[in-house]
Amino acid sequence: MKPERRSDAAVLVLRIALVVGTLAAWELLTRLGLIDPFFMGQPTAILEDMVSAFATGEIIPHIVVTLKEALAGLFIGAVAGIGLAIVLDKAETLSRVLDPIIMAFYGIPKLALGPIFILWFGLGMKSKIFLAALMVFFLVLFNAYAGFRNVDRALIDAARLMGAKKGQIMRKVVLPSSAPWLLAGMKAGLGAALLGAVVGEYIGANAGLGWMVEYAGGMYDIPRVFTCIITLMLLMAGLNALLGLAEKRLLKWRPAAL
Amino acid sequence: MRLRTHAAAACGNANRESGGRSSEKAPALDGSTGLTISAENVTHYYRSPNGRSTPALKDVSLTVNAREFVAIVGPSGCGKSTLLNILSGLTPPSRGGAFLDGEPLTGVTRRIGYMSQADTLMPWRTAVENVEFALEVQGSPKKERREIARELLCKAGLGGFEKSYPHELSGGMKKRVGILRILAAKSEALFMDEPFGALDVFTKEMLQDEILRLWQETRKTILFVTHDLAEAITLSDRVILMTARPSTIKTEYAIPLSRPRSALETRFQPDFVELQRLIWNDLRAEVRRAAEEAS
Ligand SMILES: Nc1ncnc2c1ncn2[C@@H]1O[C@H](COP(=O)(O)OP(=O)(O)O)[C@@H](O)[C@H]1O
Ligand SMILES: [Mg+2]
Repeated sequence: MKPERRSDAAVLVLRIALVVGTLAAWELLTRLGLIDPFFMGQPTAILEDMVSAFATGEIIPHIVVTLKEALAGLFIGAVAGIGLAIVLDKAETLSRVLDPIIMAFYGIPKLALGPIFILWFGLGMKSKIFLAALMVFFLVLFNAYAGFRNVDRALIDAARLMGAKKGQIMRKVVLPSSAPWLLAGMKAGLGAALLGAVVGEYIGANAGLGWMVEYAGGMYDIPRVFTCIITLMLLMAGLNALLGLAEKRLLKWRPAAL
Repeated sequence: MRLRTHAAAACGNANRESGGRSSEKAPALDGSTGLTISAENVTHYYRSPNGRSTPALKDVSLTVNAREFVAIVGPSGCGKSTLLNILSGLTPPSRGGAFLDGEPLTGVTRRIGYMSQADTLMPWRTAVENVEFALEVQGSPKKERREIARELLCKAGLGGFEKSYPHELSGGMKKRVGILRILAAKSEALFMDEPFGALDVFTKEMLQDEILRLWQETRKTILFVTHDLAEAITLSDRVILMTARPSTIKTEYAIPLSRPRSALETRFQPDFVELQRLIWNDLRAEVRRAAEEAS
């Protein structure tokens, strides 16, 4: 016999109870001296550090740097990815020539290029932007290319018959038709951009949340490490929500999923 | 349920606002010429990637006169859509040529409005945005084209569905929007490829009446492909029967039924029944041949 399905509210309560319970157990175990807060941190200490990091405004410039790098990388990677996808979609021979080469480059673990980028572009934001953009580029390229390939030929013909020129077909048929694919690419790209920026900072930088994690880690300042990680989590959730809103607006023409 | 008729009560607003334009409706009636469309010795092969070629059309010659309503019937897969694609300038034929008013056709043209067999409403555009598409790409100002599209929708009884997306419309409504979309472009000729194939009989009959009225009012040249023989006879001045693949024109039948017609009443005229029997005997042989070839 199947157990009765719990209501959404009940699930929410259980979820909160789980999180609060875990934190409480963590706190309790530290207070009882069963785990060492020096290595593991302690919820109240983390909370205290977080409040102070925001209250003094100490963390804000680093958030700004990481956000700038990630968003600039997302933008550049997306534009480059969509641009190359348009070219490949138009030029069949070129796409056949480039296909294995693109796949080979895609196969490189891109984060491993971080040190080289820092060597080339310096410790500042530029190297992180390039790393983030490279991560995003492939994701958007593959999605956009698949999206363009999936455009209904009959829709393009219909637009041509009504007098649409090449550029209009691109703007009014191909792009809107592949919007779901482009958005899927952006969604995956967002996480990749943040990852690229933070890892880049971690490898070598003088600002940003990744740098802060690295610095605090070196000082055994565990609460600060957690503060940065939680901040990154919140940033990611916020950006995802924004993208979700944009998606809802851009794709409101689609039948609601069942 | 009207595609282009007199002021329906619900459209009062739109009509008053655009009184100037609605009086200049039906450009073909006020002495403009209408479009003559012809094919000369059109032969067409489809080449598949593995090098095999499928002959679709063989030596097709036909003329659709200005303001004439011509229906094409033939077994499915015989090349009717291919012929429309060629006559609209979408597909260059392997051999032979298409002509508009005697001039060779070299590519797509706005002089022809073509409603293809596939459902080609843009799913990301609302009904009104779909209807205004042709005007939009021609650079007509937003306010003006919006008003024209609204008025067309309203007169077709779709006033309340302007902002609906295609997936929110019924099959019959989608077809209406598709027809309005090519009407908004003010082309001189209309091509329709099996437009009502998938609709229930009542909706179909209603739309047939609307097409009859549309032709009566505008006298645009219409080329109408259907696999429904009764529909072809009901609507057209001339039925062209095509053979199984590789397709040629087998027989042409003049349809001398009086106009204006109504889809329902026409069907019970003795002349109609007689024509249907005559053409059906002819068509049946081709359908059989097509079926044999397929197996
Ligand atoms: N793009 C295409 N490539 C290859 N073969 C095609 C293509 N379009 C149509 N055909 C073939 O050409 C023949 C005629 O097709 P079509 O004109 O669509 O027929 P109809 O509209 O009369 O049903 C069919 O056998 C079909 O399979
Ligand atoms: Mg067809």
